[in-house]
Amino acid sequence: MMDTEFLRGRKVLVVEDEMLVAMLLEDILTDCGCVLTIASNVASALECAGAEELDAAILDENLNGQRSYPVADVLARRGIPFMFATGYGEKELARLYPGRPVLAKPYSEDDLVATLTTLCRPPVAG
Amino acid sequence: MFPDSGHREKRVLLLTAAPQDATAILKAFEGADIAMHCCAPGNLASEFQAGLGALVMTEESMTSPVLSTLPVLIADQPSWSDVPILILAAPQTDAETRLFRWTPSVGNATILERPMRIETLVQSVRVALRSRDQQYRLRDQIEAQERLLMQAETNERRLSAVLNNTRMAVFFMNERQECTLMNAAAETLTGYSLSEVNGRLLHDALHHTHPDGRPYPVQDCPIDRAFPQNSQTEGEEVFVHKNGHFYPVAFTASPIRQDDVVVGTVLEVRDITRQKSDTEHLRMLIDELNHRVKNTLATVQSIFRQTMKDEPISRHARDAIMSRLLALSRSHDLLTEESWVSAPLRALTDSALQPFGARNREAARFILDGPDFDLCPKAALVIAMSLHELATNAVKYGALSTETGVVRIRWTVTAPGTLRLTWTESGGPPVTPPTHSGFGRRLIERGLAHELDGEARIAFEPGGVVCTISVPVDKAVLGIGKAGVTK
Repeated sequence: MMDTEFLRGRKVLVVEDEMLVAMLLEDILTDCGCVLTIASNVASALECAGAEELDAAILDENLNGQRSYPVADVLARRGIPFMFATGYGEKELARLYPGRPVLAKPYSEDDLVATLTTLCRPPVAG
Repeated sequence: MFPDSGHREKRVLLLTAAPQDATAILKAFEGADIAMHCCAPGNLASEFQAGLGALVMTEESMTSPVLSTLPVLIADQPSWSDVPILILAAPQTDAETRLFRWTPSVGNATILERPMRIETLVQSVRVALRSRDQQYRLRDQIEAQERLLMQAETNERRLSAVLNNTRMAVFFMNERQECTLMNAAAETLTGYSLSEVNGRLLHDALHHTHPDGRPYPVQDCPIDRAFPQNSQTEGEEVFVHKNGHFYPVAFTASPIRQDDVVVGTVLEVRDITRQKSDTEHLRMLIDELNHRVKNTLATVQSIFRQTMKDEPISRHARDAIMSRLLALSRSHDLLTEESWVSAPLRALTDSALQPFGARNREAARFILDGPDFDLCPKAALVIAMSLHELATNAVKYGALSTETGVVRIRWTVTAPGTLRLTWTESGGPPVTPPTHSGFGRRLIERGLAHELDGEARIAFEPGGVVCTISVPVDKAVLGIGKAGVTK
């Protein structure tokens, strides 16, 4: 089991349109002690991303046929770290959002926790 | 043409009023190798039209029917022809006056005074035939030129039929890269008529701007490099229509050589808008399918985890299910990248073993050895899943359960047409054969037989597990990639 202590109390925005996949994330992250906001479409995700106090966000790339890029752009402007989860290839996202982590669906619990932990760590100075 | 036209062309028609004149003249030409042919005044027109080298006539034969027929026959000759005529004047004193009255209407006529020496007459006829021969040579030349011209016209008609009926846009550029010819398809494609681009740099008319608005200088253009580099160039570019819109094209630019000198370029262009959008559409469909497959797998993962909360199972079981699910997903990725046509064996092996190498932080514990093959989708999935099961087993009980064990994976094509892959473990703990056949073993042994008519044998050798997989090449392999690689 990975060390999830670091994630305790982190506020994480989960943007995912598939209910069962959202439940999976909720299970894993709640077990880690994260505090979640879950949005299932671009409009509500934009609302949360623009207003809420957040430590990190996990964005499904495709929300009922709409791309989650506007949400990513809001988060980027606010300096909130985020990662993508996608059922598409990773190449397009790597081109559009270089440096942002991308998890291919389905992902392992360990990979999810490890990537989220990296997001929540403050950048190393230098 | 008459069958004996060659003979007729050289004959000399003889027109006399008195039979004794004819006899005397025929006698004079005996042994002269000149074909003399007596002609009745009534047959003059038909004999003349049948062909002759020269006409010899006495003044006495020039009766009024002859005098009315002859000028017409002379006037009706083809442009190259002017039949030489020798008129033997009547021996009367007033002959001169009469002759001068009608000679203007008998064309190329020479008047010989009678009496004369036989040799003079024969020599005059020879001279007339000689000048007639010259006319025949001129005629032959004209006819040859006419034939060439007709041939050229036929060729030209054929060529323009091809050019103007092909759907391929065809341009001709001269040595200055200026457009000098474009076919109907080219006019339709570009929106320009030939007169609008004739003599202009073709690049400046069709290809002056990049789709992003930057100017496209002619010196950067691969189409215009075919001429200076004197080599055929092919590729894809984006042209600008007369109305301003951009359209993708595939082109072939071929330098045209005349006597080893490059004189211009033929440019063939095809609009590939449709083809591009079809490819894009296909790509989109595959992406969409993949997205759905992946989401479904994630959903299955979720259902499994939710169920497990209510009905706890062992941690081993949970890990095994999760890792099989992820292995299946990963093997789909490689296929998706190649649009579900094929997956390279080497990348597939790397991807299947990646979680095991990564977990142990020791990729060097896998020794991969074999040429790169492109596997068909079915084979890719079965082989990737088999490798995953073997690796899982090795981590739990075999070579990868110790610090020093290694796995050697070799593959090769053996005669007759069999792809053989061997998985050999060494450096692990002593092997104890299992008491029952687990899921992994059944997947390997049955999956290969079921999907690929293949065969797999797992041997629990004392030194380590050895798995030999054999599949028919024609069932599994689409092509052989780059030369063998060894890691």
